[in-house]
Parts: sequence; structure tokens; C-alpha cells
Amino acid sequence: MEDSEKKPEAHISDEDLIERFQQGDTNAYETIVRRYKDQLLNFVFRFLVNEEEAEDVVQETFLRVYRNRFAYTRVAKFSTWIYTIAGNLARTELRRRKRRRLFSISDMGLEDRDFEIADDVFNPEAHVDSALQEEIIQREISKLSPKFREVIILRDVQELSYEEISKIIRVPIGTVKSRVNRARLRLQNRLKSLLEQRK
Amino acid sequence: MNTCESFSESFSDYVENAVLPEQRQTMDVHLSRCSSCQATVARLSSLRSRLRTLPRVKTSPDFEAILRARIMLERKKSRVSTFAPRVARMPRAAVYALAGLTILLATSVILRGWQSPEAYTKRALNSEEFYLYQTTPNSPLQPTKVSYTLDKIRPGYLQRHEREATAHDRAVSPDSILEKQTLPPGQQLKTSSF
Repeated sequence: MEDSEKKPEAHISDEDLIERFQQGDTNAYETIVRRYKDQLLNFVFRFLVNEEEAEDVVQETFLRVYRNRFAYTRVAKFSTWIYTIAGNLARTELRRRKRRRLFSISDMGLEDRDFEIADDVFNPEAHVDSALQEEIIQREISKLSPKFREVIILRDVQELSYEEISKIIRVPIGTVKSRVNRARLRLQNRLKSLLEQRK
Repeated sequence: MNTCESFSESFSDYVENAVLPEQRQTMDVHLSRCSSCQATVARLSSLRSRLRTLPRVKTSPDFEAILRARIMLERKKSRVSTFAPRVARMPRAAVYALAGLTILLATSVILRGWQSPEAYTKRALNSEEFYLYQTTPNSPLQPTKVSYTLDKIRPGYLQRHEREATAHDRAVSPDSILEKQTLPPGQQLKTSSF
């Protein structure tokens, strides 16, 4: 414990930090917040495609960590634990959003379907600006069903390992790999023009 | 399932270099002959790099301040709500006893508040018992202790009474006489054991 106290913040593991927080060190909690706030926001934002809602979800995630700090045990990686909380909250937010919306074909819950509607109106070739291209990619990600969206964000945007994703979403590694592959195939098919243009 | 479809299941592993060497060799052979699969693999590689380089969003500057405020609010709430769960955990009999005691205490406080000391004195002076006490000294209704204010006493009564008391006190204790003489006017005089 004494050794870890001397370590600069950057070198302390997440697991040590949460342990310190469990012992009453609120500075350790603040370090955790600083370490995870942006990466969690990035993950939740790519999932919800709404920055304000995403920030609310991340706030709630940290509140849950604060409230349930003693529920964490060293058996799991801290990052897995906090990503699981954020992912669950993001999915809940999606469901809540769906209930709030009026029942129409444009937003009848694409996120809850395993299939996607072909977007014939949209022509990615017309867009060359990189910001717009990012928007197009984001839009296509948001059209994936939540189970595909979540894994592709965790794998390709957040760059987490298959093993970690498997623990976060609580499905076998084989299923994660299969979902990532299918999500990528769908995305590349929809973004054909854009992806070929870049070559 | 045709060859392209079966290979497509391993495309992700292929672009991530996660396939076994012999499987890679077989896939390479297929890709060299199939332009469609070749294009798909190329797009998948491009997609991966595009997703990795998507701009990172950042939290607003007041994110931590808001979180801190929410935590403080949460702490306050938990402090307030700690009493209710404690009561809920208590045995039912103890809760009833506590409630009864509280009601009893509240009732006694309210009743005492309604009657001032002056009201007590008036009641004593006007009561039938006091009249009987005055008129029939040996009556069984005669109270052992009466409290009254000096200005309410009829003239001559105190002097007569004090004469009797002084004679008695002189025999018992000279200090008690001094106490009686130094009482300020208007203050309650308590006489005992008539």
C-alpha cells in the first residue's frame, strides 16, 4: 500500500485505484473519473449518437461506480466492470428513447432489429469532406442493431480485446467474433463507395 | 454455402491477422481468384482503419463539477433516508411502543401548555375544596397542600395564618421564619402541613 501511494497517478492500476477508493480515498475516485470519462463518453456517444444523452449516461455510470464501489471485486478487470455499467445504461437509454418516440417507420426501432433497411436515397459519393464522411460512418453505425453496434464500437472504435468484450457483454468469445464479423460486413457493404473512394 | 460465403465468415480474422498459417494460405489462393472477395477484404481493412481514426468526443468542461454536485446531493439524500430503513428493521412491537410513547409525551406537553400556573391558582381559590377547607378545618376534604398568590388573599387572613405559623416555626427552626419574611411580594407563598 505504501509503495502504491508513492506511485504517480498515471502508473497506478485501475484495480489499485478502486481499492483505494473502497478504503475511503476520494482522490482515487477522481483519478478514475479523469481516466475514464472521455473513453466512456466516446463509446456511449457512438452508441447513442447524441452527445448530451451520452454525457448523462456517463455521469450516471460514475454515480453507480461511486454508489456500488464495494460491489467491485478484483476478480474482474475494472475496465470490464465500468464498461459493462456504461453499456447497460446506454442500452436502457435506447429503450427509453424508443418508448418516447412516436411509432413511425423512420424511427420504429432500427436498433432493435437484426436486419437493416437499405438506404437507397443516400449517396455517399456526393460527400467528400472528411467531417461529413465521419458523419456518414456514424450514421451507418447507428443503423446497426444494438448487439452489432455495441461490439463493433468496442472492438474497432474503443479497440478492446475480444476477451474483454466477451466479459463486458457477457457472451462467449466465439459469438463476439461472429457479431464483429457480421457488423463489419454490413458496414462495408453500406459504405462501399466511401471506403473505395479512400483507396 | 459456396466458397465465398464460407470464407466471408473468416474475413475479420483475416484482416486482423488472426487466422492460422494454413488457413491464410487457402484464403490467399481464393482471394487471388475472386475479385469480389478481394474487394470486400480491402473494404474491411479500410473500414477498420476508418473506425479507429474516428474523432474522439470529449466530456464538457463542467463534467466533473456536475458529477461532484450530484454525489454531494446523493450523500445528503442517503443521510436523510437512513432513519426510515432503521425503523423498518425494528420489531413491530418496538415501533408501536415508540409511537405510543411519543403520543403520550406530546399529549402531556399540549395539556400542560393549555393551563398556566395562574389558572391553577385560580382554580385552587375558586374550588369547592378550598371553600370547605376554609370553613371546616377538620373536614376529610381538607387538602394537605395549597398554593396561592399573596394578592389574592383576603386581608387579615395571612396575618392570622402567619401568626399561627410563626409560633410553630419558632419552636422548630428560626431560619424558616426569616425565609418567609424575605419573600418578595407577588411571589407564590407555599404553606405546608396545616
